[in-house]
Amino acid sequence: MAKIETALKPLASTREDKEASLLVDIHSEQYLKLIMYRQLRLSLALFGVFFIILAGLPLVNYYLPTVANVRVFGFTISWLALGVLFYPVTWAVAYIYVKRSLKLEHQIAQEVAQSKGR
Amino acid sequence: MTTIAWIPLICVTFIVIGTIGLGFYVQRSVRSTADLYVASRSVSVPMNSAAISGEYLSAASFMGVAGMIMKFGYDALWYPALYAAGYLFLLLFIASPLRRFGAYTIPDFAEGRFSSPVFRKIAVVFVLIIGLFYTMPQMKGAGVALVNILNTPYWVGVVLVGCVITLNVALGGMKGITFVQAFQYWVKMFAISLPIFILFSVVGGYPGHMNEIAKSDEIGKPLPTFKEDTTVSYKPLAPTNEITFPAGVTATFGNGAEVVVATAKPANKDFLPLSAENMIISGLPDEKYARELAGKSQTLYRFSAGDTFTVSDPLAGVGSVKLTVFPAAGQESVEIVYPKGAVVPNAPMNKAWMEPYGPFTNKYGHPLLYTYSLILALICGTAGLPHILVRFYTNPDGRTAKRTAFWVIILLGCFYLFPPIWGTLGRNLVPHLYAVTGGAFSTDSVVLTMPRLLNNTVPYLGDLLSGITSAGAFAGFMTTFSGLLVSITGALAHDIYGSMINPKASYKQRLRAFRVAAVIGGVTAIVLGTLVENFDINMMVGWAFAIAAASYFPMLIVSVWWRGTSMMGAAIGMLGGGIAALAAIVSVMLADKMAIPALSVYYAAHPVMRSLAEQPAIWAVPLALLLIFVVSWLTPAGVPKDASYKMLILHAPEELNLREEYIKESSLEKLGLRQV
Repeated sequence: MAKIETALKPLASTREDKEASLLVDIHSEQYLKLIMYRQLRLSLALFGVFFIILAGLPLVNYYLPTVANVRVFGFTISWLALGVLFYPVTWAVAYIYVKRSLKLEHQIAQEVAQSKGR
Repeated sequence: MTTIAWIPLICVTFIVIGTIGLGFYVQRSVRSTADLYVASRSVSVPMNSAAISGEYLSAASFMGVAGMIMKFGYDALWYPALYAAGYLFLLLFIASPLRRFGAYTIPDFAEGRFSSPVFRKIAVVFVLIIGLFYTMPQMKGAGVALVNILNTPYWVGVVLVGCVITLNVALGGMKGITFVQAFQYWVKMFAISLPIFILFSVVGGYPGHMNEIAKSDEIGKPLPTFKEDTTVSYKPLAPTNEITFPAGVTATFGNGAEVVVATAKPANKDFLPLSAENMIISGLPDEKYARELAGKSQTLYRFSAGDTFTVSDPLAGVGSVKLTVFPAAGQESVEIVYPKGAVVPNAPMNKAWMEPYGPFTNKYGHPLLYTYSLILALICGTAGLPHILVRFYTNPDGRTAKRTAFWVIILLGCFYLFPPIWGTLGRNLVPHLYAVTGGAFSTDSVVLTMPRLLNNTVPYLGDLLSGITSAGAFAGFMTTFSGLLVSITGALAHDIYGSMINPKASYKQRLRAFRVAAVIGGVTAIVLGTLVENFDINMMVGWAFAIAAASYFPMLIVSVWWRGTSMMGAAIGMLGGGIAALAAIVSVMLADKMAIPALSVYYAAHPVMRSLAEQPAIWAVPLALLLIFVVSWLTPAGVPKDASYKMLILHAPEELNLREEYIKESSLEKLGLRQV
């Protein structure tokens, strides 16, 4: 992974590096790795939110039962988290993903269009 | 419950006729093969998101989740949460690339990605296996619901629902069911929410009932009790005839019984089994005899009709008394009369129910392992269900597909808020459902039973609401079964007939093949459905998820994100993971049914192995991934020559229109030149 990262650094999507990416041939291996990396990074970042919840909640329930079983409106906090509040979190993550990934796709397409335009 | 429940019957008839009617109505607009498979990719966002959600919310979601939460409490909350999260996982990592690739089915993807017709055949086999495994619980649910409404034999419900859906799929294909499924999502949403709001207005809200459960511990009532004198009948089928008494209960055998008395936790080696006299402290009959049961000699006590017995709590907190009841000579079932105020058998304690690591995940003493494995199976299994993935192709473009997926997550989340409410209210309002552990009148029927309480408030209101939930349950079986049948039919007609047997088939031949395949698939599912009456719904759903998680999911995620995947690697990983998970699950089943006594003894002595076999995802998914990586490294020649180009199509935005370009210059030589 580190190798890919260093290979991709000159092609990163930041504004100052845009010049470099304009020269990219869309059929090259390097370009493929770039677009995969950019999209995977977005997915992994958002999945990270879930990973923390899904890996963390069982641990909290197991090692900190006094925290997990604090009563709020009759519910335990843990029940409220998994049975009620979990769903709005999925909505937020899905919203951010759809918005960001559409923007990212559009950006990638624009870069190619500009590159062809030259 | 000996007569027909008329109002629910009318509601169910309405939903069944509505389904057929929509199918016929839509059939008139079916024109091409693409229409049949993916609805010409022209379905709008609201329509398609409701249709995907409708397909996703099966009988397991509608009845099973509420029932499991009532039965097990907190631990079962993982099911609805992860059904929703699994869909999100699919959206993040798999959905968009697969859509861009532009294949109708997963076998299309398998063949296209690896340029290998052999791989298509392997993938088709898994579509059929997972599809048929997943239809069995739907069929079981349909049969059980009709038992509750009509008192018909189990198979009638299976055949009825099976025929309606098979007809609908054969006539309209996917386009037909897109409309039907969108409609049925709203039926299910309405059916699960409206009765709850009406119940709230009569019996109080969700937090209030939670509070009641929490408070009853403090006033020394750790278990639910019967609201009135209740007669429960037990059929002589395991596990339906096993009753666990957690504390001193007095009850009466209405028509006599032959009973095996045992302690409920024999796994603990230091725990000396108590004698029957210590467990049944009064009313134990003198008459007893020995009988061979599941390979072991057991002592059966013969109770006469009207015999009253009292069960003791042999060792508080360590063991409880388990009675296995068999009907007396000449009787079909055992009737037990529980007086009002008696503790309900089989119910978990309030504390264990409300708090994590209760009776579900902690049954073998390794709750953390069990929970993580369950999480993995449900998340990865969702991504590997073939009938869900194919739906992504019904959008006109990738942008619409993503917006659809977002709305699906909203719709699913709204729905899944409700089953836990049913489970919670059910514990307080209809605790008698705990008294039977399986079959048509267990906690699985809570959504059908609980609304009837409202008959006491407003005449017929309860029946009407019970009718609405019955219709919702039917919508659940029907939509999921349609989706599965389209996948199975697609595999048979498109992959086996269209691609292997007769690739040059004309449009008419293809359409006829689709219809014949729908009938073959439907009949197979009906036959299998009639065979599974004695299996647990959730066990069967678990099989399908675990197999999907260990077969399709690793193959998909690695082929989508790793260019170096070889055909052999992907195929061996998929087969190895899927077969290992299947074998583990079947071994547990054989052990439970006492088919192989040595296996039962082994699992009883090794709770870790038992947990791992019952929830295999935690090792089967990594095994499949490992197989894919290792075999791919060993067979670099199996990496497709145009892999880079295929990866580009998978990952480049659709705005670039690469797929059309790919079709134009699809000759391998030309693509070979592009290799770096």
